[in-house]
Amino acid sequence: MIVLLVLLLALIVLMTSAALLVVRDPMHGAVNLGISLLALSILFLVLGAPFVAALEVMLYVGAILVLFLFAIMLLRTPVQPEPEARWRPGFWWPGMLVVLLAAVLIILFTRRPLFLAVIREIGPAMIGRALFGPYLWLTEAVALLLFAVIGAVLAIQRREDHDA
Amino acid sequence: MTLELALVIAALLFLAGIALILLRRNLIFLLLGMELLFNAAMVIALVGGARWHSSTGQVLVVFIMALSGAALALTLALLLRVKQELGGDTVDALRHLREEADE
Repeated sequence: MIVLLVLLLALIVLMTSAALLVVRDPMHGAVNLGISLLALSILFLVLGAPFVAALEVMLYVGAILVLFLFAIMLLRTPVQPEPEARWRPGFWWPGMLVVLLAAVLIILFTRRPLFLAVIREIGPAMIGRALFGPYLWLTEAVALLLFAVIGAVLAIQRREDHDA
Repeated sequence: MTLELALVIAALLFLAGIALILLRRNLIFLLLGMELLFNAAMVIALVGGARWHSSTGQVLVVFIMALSGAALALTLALLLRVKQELGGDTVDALRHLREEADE
């Protein structure tokens, strides 16, 4: 059963990645990436990493994907009228993806104890103890890096010459 | 069996990311491909952690997440700047920049 679940996840990842290669609208690409990330978070849960699965949903779907959406909306040029040459009418693609994700979730939540017998979980407590124990300096370095990124983004966006 | 299938998923993600970076011309899709590459690395790290039942894999994944977020913030800011300065969001806009610099 766990093999079936992972095969379904592989199918979802394959479908969304193939869709990323052919879609024209960046917004469709972002939505496909979001479905792919949700499937990956389920894969992480199956692999015995519930903390990372939660982080995947919170950080990737919650923050990084929203960042992509903001960038796409800022980049979108309002002048081109989009000649409506859509070769995929309707909503069958996201509908199919939603059905697949629902099937995966049903399998996951009905057979969860069986999965836990296959791969033992490593809970958030052990991760936290490792992060703030032997890896404390690395964690602080990453915090410093993220702080530096804020400054770098401000420096990139600064304009000296026009409309100051 | 599950771990091998997860490695297959990682390979799929890696191939898709490389294909996105090489084939698409839109810079947004290039960044999406970069995220797919980071996710492939994360899957491999988690498979290693599950195989040897160690928390190091998950710690590595947490660091990869922070690094990919930092890289993405920088590149998205650069992308917006490219759009402002050059008026395009495809790879061709960047090639135009190089030709101007060569002249």
